[in-house]
Amino acid sequence: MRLTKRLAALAVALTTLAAAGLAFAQGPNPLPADTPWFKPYEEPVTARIGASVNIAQTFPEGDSYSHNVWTRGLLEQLNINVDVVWEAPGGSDYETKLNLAIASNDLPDIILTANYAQFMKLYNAGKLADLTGLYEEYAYPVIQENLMKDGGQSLSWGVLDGKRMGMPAEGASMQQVRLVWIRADWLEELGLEEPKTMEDVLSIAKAFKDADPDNRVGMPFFKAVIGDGMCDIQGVANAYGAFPRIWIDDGEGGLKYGSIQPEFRKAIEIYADLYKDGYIDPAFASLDGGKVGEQLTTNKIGVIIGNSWLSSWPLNTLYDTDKVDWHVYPLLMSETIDTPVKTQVPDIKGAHVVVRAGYEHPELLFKWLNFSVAKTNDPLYAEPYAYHSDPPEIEHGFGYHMLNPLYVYYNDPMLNFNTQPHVTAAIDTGDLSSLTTAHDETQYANVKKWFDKVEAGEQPSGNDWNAWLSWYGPDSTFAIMNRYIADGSLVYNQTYGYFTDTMVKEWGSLTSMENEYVTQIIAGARPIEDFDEFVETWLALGGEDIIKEINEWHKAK
Amino acid sequence: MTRSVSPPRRPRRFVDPWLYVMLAPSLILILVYAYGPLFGLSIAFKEYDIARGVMGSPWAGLAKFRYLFKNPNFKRVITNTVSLSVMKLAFRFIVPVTVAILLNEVRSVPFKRAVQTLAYLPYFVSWVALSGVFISILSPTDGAVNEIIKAMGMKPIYFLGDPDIFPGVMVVTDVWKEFGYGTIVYMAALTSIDPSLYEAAAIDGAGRARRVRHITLPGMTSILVLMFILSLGGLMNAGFDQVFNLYNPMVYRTGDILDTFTYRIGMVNAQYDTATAVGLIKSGVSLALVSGSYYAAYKFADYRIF
Amino acid sequence: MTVEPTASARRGIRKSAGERAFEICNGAILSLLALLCLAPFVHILAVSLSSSQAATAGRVGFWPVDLSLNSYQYATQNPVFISAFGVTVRRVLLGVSVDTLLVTLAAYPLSKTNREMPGRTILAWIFVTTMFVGGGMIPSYLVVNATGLRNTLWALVIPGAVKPFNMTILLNFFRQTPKDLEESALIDGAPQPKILWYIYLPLALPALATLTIFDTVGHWNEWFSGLIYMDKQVNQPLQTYLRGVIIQPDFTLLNQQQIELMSKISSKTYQAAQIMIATTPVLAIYPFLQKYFIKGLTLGSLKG
Repeated sequence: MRLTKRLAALAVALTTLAAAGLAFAQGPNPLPADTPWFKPYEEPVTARIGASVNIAQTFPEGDSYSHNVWTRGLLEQLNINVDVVWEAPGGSDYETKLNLAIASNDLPDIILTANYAQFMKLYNAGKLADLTGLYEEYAYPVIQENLMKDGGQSLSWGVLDGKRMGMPAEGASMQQVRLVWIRADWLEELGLEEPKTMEDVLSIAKAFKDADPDNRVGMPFFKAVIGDGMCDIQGVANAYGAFPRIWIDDGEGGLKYGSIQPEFRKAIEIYADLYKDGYIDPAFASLDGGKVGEQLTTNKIGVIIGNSWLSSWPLNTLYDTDKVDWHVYPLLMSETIDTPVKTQVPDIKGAHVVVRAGYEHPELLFKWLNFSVAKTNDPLYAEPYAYHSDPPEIEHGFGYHMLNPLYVYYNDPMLNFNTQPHVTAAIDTGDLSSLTTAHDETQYANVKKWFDKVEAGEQPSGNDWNAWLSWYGPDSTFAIMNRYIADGSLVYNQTYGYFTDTMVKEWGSLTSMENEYVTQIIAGARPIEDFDEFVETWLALGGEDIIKEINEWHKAK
Repeated sequence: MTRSVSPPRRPRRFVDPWLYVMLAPSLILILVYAYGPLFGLSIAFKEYDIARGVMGSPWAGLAKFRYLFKNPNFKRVITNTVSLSVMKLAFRFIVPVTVAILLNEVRSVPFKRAVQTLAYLPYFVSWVALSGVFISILSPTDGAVNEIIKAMGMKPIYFLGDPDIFPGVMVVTDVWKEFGYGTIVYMAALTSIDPSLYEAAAIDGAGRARRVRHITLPGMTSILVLMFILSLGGLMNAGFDQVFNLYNPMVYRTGDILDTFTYRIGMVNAQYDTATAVGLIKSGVSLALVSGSYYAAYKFADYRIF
Repeated sequence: MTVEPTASARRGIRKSAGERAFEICNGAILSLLALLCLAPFVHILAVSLSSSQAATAGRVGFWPVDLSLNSYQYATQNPVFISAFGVTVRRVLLGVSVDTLLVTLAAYPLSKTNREMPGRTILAWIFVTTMFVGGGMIPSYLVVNATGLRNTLWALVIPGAVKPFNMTILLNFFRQTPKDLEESALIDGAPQPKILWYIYLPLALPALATLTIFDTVGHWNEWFSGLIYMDKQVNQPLQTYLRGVIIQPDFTLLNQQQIELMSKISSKTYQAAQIMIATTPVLAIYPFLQKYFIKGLTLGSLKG
């Protein structure tokens, strides 16, 4: 029953791909069993894992996190028997569950640590298997290649005392930078000019709100405050030269922490003023991403400073229901700042995939990771419509990749970025040879559909609109981000996820304290002068030691 | 055994082993599941290392307690906890007593019953579910309460985000949830008042207000004193389920209480040693308050728990 | 107007204009109060039955706007919600049975005097102390884990099965039972379990019924042990699930597809429907047992 469904999906995939004349239409090739990367185990080997899950996840009939296309594929093709020993919703619940597992000395075989602190705790306690040498031997060359694309930076994080103890589960994703989104119809309606500076953006947000004060939110903001690409303070902070939550160059060969600098105080003050004047939802501290999404789709928001994925949700929904189009701009700097755009790549949490010390098959981790990449995005072996998502023809297609109990994919970090010039060239010239990956081809098909619909005078789907806005032309989101990279305007966290001893203990409390102060000052519960109190307290409760440790580490490097 | 036939002789008291057998399952369970984890309290005095476990972690003396008393948040949390629970305590008396007296003056039995039933309704609903209800109806943007406020031409109020209003909201919603329970307790006390007292007062021409003052209230004194003393023991509990499900960082200044503070440092920041130290302080104070209030209950109201 | 004074006093009617005004005011105040208790539920019910657009636009008051059963349909088709509901029903049945049995068996011996049961006071304190002192989450988890309860329904039942507060109430109830009854049985040489069963228990039924209701509500509403002791989503009780929907997890850790999924189950109407379904069962049991309940509650707390 499941099989026929899968075959059907595959058939659809094959026919559509064949029609488009695609490279991997001949596939999927069976995984080469004679390579160390994909050699199946002789006997089924059990891998116990604790899975970080989403309570809202739905499943194809009869499936679960423990039994789905991924677990079946791993068993059939590599003889890996996945045993999901526990599930916990991602976030603090997952962290708690893993802490309980550590405390009761009942660790799963393969573990995804929630952050760097947890990784260090496990390492210090001697609970981790040494993976030195295994990565080089067993990791699929495509993975090794992809992980070198940032110069080996993220790869170096998993090495402690010269030994590889874990694999980074997230890269410093350049895709997570902020962009300025403005509703095209409202801009036109009010006859406003396109923004040139961050001040313009803010006054447009105010003008939108003033035009319909009862129903609109001026500047969307929510409880995550910093570090969430929906609508946090980061975009505005960057525009005023502040880089909250990351370690930056202090200009004298050392590093300083962005959140305690005066520039950040300025950004907070701007938000506090917006709040005071009624341009920020008074309930922001209890809003999450879902609620902001609701505000966007019910036409309450006209300006949002967030990540490129906004067009794939929820703005695509709004396009479907109300045909709303948005303009996207690179982050615009404040008039008070005379440097060109500087935008920060958000801090990573330092999650790592590790193997329990004493597990008989530590190399299994790599076979699993190989399988994940091969099945979703490898030109030779991918079965994207079985393992990744339903084909683009299916509206609201199902995301199979989310069922993988080990949700880590070492895809090419530049995949989405490269698609933009490829798709743009293919559309403009009609020559499809520029399309080199499955992703290119899928997105090309979507953008093509968008053009066809527009030409026919029909309403394109939100899905096609998203592809068009993301990958076609110089104003698309990925074109903007490609320029960020080319111009060197990205600011990275200079510690690259490194955690000092004091950070392992205190970082959690320090960042929550930071969030509390920022929230309270913006909401007017504290005056802006309390920013100084925040800095003092931050330094006193361990920040001072951390600065010292970080700089010692930096100098030693 | 020969049975005595002489009726006046009291039967010899003998200890029936069955009593211990009956108690055994509960005793075993409580020893395992309530006393078993107590060894964990030692981590309040340790530098807790989750991997080395409770026993293996090195001792740290009173470091965690010193850290707490240095932390300005801890003092704030103590103040918030005490003031919130005192306010709740007061209103948990005033409202149900008033309602009970008012209900007592009602003659229609079906009406009485209907009011009691409805008032008791919220008592059964979890704070998890109620938080959904209150977050929704108190929302400053589209909540029902603020729609009414806006319709009256006033500015919307952010009930759950304004630190000056938040404690009030906690008290009101708490009383709303709990007063039905109190009302029933006090109603019961009222029914035990001899009706002839009222009749006599009526014949003497006493008005309603005077009857309440001179008969109803004195008739409730003992239960009021009792309930008051008993609730003193819960002074350190300002309502975790309620506050936890309704608060946010904007209202920490007035809304953060001991239990939510402990939850955050323990569960979110994983500082189990410090969290345990807070728990230990709280347990100590609670135990003292409880012993004190039970002693007082025994002394002044002649009430013993067993 | 002359009314015969004694008769009117007996019936309690003495209708001067002031009295009448008081009664009207009193009735109005109490009605208002009762409605205030009902209003939020009516509102949430109305939201759950409205269209999503009307609800997010804040146009729903106490009556559904654009009547729609979609959210109920969605809730009843959500396998996670259904399984959570099933877990809660099972834990209530199992938990309440175990709790009731234990509380009866424990309260009875402790209601005896020290002469009848040496050591009884110390034993009682052993139980009561646990109301105020606990070892914390991790040690509790370790004990539950070591005793093999983790990820079984028993984990939601056994660790909290002994409830000293309920025990105290029942214990006091037993004490009010006249001693003569027991003594006549003792003369017959009846063992204590038999005395409990035939003499004490029938008299304690109202109190036991009350405790049972409290216990049912407690089990129905509890969420924390589900969070830490249960390993799989399918074993989570309803309130643990509901908490995940209402007090949402950290969105910063989700990718946009996961956020999209979350936003579906937490949409206003759907959330309201889930709250209604999760709440109605406990509300429904109360009126049926109200008679017992009030009687038991009063006796338990008013022991003299």
